[in-house]
Amino acid sequence: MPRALAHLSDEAVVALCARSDEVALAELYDRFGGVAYGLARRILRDDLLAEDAVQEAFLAIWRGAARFVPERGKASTWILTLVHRRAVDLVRREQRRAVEALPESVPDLTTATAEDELWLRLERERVQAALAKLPDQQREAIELAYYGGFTQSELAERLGEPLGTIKSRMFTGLARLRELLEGEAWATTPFTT
Amino acid sequence: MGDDAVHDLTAAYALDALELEEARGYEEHLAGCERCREELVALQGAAGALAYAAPPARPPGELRGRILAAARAERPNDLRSLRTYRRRTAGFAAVAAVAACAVVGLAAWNVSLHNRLDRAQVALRGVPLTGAKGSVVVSGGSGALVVSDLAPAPAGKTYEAWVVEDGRASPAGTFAGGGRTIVIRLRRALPAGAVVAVTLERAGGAPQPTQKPFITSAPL
Repeated sequence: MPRALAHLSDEAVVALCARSDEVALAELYDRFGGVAYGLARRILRDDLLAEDAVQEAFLAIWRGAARFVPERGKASTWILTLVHRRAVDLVRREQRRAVEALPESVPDLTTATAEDELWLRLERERVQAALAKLPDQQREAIELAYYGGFTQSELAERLGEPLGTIKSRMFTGLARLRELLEGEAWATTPFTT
Repeated sequence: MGDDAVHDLTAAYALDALELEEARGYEEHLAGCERCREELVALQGAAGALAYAAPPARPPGELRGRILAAARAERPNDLRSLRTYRRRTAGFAAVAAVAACAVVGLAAWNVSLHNRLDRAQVALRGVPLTGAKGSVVVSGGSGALVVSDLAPAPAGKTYEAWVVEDGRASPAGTFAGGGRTIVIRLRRALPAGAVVAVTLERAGGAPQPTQKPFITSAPL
């Protein structure tokens, strides 16, 4: 099916969502559903729970689209923040925070076009490269918090460090990650051209 | 808040690494702190990018249709019962939205009304239960069990749902009961003609039912 809204920016599609346009929600799913599912699966380590998290997140997008304020950040950040929050809520509720290996999955997105897929791959490599440049302790704190769903207090206990140390690793690491990511020229979205 | 203690929480908040109470406190602080709002936009951007570094995975094909059907069920047909329903069921919000329609008595509810989205068409059916108030809501080959007024399972016990096909029962998830209406996502495919059943089992669940089911559905 051709994507009628493919030419619009993420922000414009969110604005259409706020007006109860289901095609807009479908478009957001086509853009972010794959990343959302990959993230939720990474955090929850369970396919069905990941589906629940993605489903709840997209319904939160549907309900909250009218409250999205473009001045407070990109639509993609808002969407992925909602997905992350749902996944972390679920992982804490289910107490599934294990650090075992993630089962292999087919790296393929049903709804993605070749162009989308290429962009996703480049984006993944770019973020992974930036993460790899962080000092080990900062990367560890960020990864355990973001992908592991651990709170800062749990991290302090787990790593045997004072809370202040954890806070500063997360802050310094995230600020540095931002510099690294912004340091390169990159398109904010593949859909605006 | 005169000291830096709350400002310090920005990175942890951006990573969703605060306890619930800390997060609420930070959000209150945020309303009156321009510096934190700006910092949060920057750090949340970086945190959001981390999503792309997760191993890619293909979401199941039905997920898209389920989300769109649930969204459609919420708006514009905003059933009043849906709202109270949603508040009670923190998880499974979408299935709950769909299930609410079954609970209010729409046994067969076809969402192909708007067929602008041909890929999103999903037929949802409600199948009645005996032994408890509720139904099985079926969408394609998957579904959820919706039960009202089920007493919490006794200590050391759990309810277990089964999908029974040709006399063979496969475990489809355990749950605790309690609450007015609960929605249990069935972790097992639902073939046509199968029956969904519930037994009371020892905590942790059993690989096979150890007693006669006290809740059964009509054939799906």
